[in-house]
Amino acid sequence: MHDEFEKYGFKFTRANEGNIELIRNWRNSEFVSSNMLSQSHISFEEQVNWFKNLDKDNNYYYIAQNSTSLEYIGVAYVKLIGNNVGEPGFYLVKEEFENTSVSIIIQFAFLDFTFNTLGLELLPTKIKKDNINAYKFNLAFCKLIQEKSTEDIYYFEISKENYFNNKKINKLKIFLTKNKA
Amino acid sequence: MTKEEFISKFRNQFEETEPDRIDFETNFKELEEWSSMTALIIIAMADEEYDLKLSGDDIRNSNTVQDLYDLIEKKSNQ
Repeated sequence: MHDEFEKYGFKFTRANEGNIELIRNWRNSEFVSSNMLSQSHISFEEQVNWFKNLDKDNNYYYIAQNSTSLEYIGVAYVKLIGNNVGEPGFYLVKEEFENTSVSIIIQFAFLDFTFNTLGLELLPTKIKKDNINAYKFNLAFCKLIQEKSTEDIYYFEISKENYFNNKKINKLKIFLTKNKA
Repeated sequence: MTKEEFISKFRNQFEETEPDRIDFETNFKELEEWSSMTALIIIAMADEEYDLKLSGDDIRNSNTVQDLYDLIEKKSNQ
């Protein structure tokens, strides 16, 4: 279900047995793992077992590519935890995409998918305090929950209602739809 | 497009940065508020205000506000 979708000029392909090695290699790179809550190296066997045992009804992992060039851009995922709540995650696969519009567009596309297609209502997320780019992105339109944040972790939430009622986001999405950026 | 109009529009894209902190010599990517979101907002501004397509590479290859102004002016005249 939902094996592929396209939005704003990017193609999302769900993780499968044929592409999980790509994901493992990205996840193990220093650029990606340094921003993760866990930096442990993942072996080939661990990745295969992880995917084999993954509850695929409640975990949606996608590889995002430029629809035209098919260049790999990032990995987006969400874990459904019940009551229409999902824990999202996202990372870029190359440092050169940091602080670019591409990273924002992909996250808009994935948020649209989680709220509209998967029917989620609330997305809580935890971010390492030294992950400045993720912090800035979340601060722009998510709610920072101070009481749940810790010395090392920021805790943010975004609701479907707040996401779709955010004027800045809506303005940007009109631009993206018009330009198929 | 005058320089004054351009910098006024550019400053208006920032919510937290005081306008007087932005002039033509400002390296806009060094502003605390600058992020990938702001990059997209500037690209949308160029489209809306000047009917011009700026790419991510255009933003990446520009450092100062003057660089962006020069680029938009050049594209306007093409």
